[in-house]
Amino acid sequence: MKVLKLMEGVYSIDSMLATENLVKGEKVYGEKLIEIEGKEYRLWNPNRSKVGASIKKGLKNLHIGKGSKVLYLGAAEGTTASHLSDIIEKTGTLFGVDISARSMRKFIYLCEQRENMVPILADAEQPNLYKEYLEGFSIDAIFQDVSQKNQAEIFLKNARVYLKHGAYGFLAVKARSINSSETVAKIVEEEAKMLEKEFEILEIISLEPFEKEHAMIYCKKK
Amino acid sequence: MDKIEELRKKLISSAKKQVQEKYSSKDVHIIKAVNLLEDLDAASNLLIEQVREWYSFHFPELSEIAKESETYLKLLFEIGERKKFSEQKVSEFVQEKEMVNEIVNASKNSMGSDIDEKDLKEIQMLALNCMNLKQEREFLSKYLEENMKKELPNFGEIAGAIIGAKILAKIGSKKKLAFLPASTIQLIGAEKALFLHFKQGAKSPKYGFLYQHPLVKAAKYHNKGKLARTIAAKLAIAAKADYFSPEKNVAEKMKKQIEKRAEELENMKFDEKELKERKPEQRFEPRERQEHPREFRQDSKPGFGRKPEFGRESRFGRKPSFGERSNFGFRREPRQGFRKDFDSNSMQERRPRFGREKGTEFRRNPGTGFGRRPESEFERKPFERESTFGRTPRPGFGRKSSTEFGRERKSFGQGFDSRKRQEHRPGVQREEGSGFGEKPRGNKFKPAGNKPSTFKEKKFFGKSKFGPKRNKFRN
Repeated sequence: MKVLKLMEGVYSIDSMLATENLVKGEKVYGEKLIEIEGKEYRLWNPNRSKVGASIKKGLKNLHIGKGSKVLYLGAAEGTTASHLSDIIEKTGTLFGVDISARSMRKFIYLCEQRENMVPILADAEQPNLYKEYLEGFSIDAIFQDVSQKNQAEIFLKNARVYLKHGAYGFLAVKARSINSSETVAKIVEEEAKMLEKEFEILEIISLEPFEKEHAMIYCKKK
Repeated sequence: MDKIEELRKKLISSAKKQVQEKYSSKDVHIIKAVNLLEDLDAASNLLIEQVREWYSFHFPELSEIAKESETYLKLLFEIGERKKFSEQKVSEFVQEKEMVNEIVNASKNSMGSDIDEKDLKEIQMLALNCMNLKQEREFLSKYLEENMKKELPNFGEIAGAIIGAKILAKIGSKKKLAFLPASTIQLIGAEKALFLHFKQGAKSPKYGFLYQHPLVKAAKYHNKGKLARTIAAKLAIAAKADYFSPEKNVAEKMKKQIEKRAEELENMKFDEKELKERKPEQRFEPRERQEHPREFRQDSKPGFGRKPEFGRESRFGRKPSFGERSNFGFRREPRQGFRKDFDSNSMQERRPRFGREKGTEFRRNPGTGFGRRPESEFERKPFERESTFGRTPRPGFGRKSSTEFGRERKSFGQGFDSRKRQEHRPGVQREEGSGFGEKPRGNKFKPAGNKPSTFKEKKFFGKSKFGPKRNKFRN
């Protein structure tokens, strides 16, 4: 099996996405482990991860690597967050924010296993509540996957407080959470407009067929 | 790195504490119990079916006679072999004499085959477990009632333990329940119908879980909705009482009020004619797809359209010339996707909206197509276009059934006067696409000019440009 490097930390094994496992031998959500030349890789399922789906649909660069500080809003049980933590390796840090205590139960367990993940049980809509924890850290990238009506607003609020200038943001838009009767294209267009002032929108990727009525907005802070 | 390590440990412990706190309230247990009730029912039904089938190798008639699973399982477990089915023994477990005789007779003339002791024992063990499951369900139900009395006394008394618990399960917590409006409580459980009403303009639901309430069940059809509303209103008050002052008993008084109202409704006389009109409208069904020929439609009414000429696409209406009223009073939705040059939004804002149009923001392109405003660049060439002539509007775009079309036609909005139309003259330059009627179905349109850059709606999202409603009636 051939291992191709797509970007830093992300590999493609026989056209399946994978990341190098930080904690050898441990699975997070029942994914497959493959060992090649002494390195263990965890397969990344694009059906369960929006970031994975967007990479499959053509996202070229995640702009994170060893030592990056990442803020992940809407971490849930940590399926995508675990892959990001694989990418940033031991020197980086991933702050996972989620509002649900039930998902947090699994996420906390994951954080205990991995040294570079930090759980924050808080509402992402009020970034000031967890400001004290993130003080002194400048975030290199924000990933967001919350299915709320004011997704763009949440993203903006957090970016204003935490994100460095020139850093990148990845916002996964769930169109049906915003409006259940308009077309997806229109909804995503409107969300992108909200971000236009402070972000330079580089790409908008539809996540079909992995996720219906979802899109990933890849933007850079001005 | 140490800083991060410290922070991490601190945050892990604080997150753990928060999780602990959240699940320390009692309503979590009620929610779990009520969800389990249904699952238990399903599981026990499944197993009992299997037991019946298995035992039927030995004594098939018993399955037909003892329809109730409790008696069946008991007889199976206590007696077992066909030979041992004596009148004395059977009458211990079955009260009705007829049934006893039936069973005893059937056991003597049964078509079942003999069975080993070992096999019989297996079946009996399984039957025992099924009985335990049923008992477990009863215990759970009692536990639920007790808990509801403790946690939500007022709410549970008015709604009943199970319905109250189901509503709580949907909402999630006592606190959220306390801040709910009565209308939400009334419709919890009917989400599918509710969103169908919002999206597709279907009739709005009148009750959700409350439909199972004994008073609502017993009421006449046309009173159910009213009673559900009353009950929901009182439930909202009860929920608040339970959260803020649980010692108070407001349920007693309110129950009497509800019962009084139920009686009132029972005794009210309704006009039969009025009743008939109130019966549920037939939900419109999608029309059959018709092939619209490129000729004059015989059934279209006079004044409705024109004859086609010279094989050219027939189109009712034309691009309104400058100064004339455009759009015939109907709002045109801006096209989805990138239209950088043609900004219809600003033009629409100037146009005032009246009456019927006010709520039309979420409607798709009016498929009724009363004078669609032409779009310059994306307009289709006439040759690629199907005839739009004489297409009657289809139901489903927020419209009632087509029988009301005639009525609606009288009010076209502002300023439409068919007599003012320009005559159809060959050779007259027309803006393309100013067609009357629906956009024909099918992907026959190719926009002229450059396609938009990143958004390719149809392929992009795999759906019709015209939105969800359109799609529904395409089939």
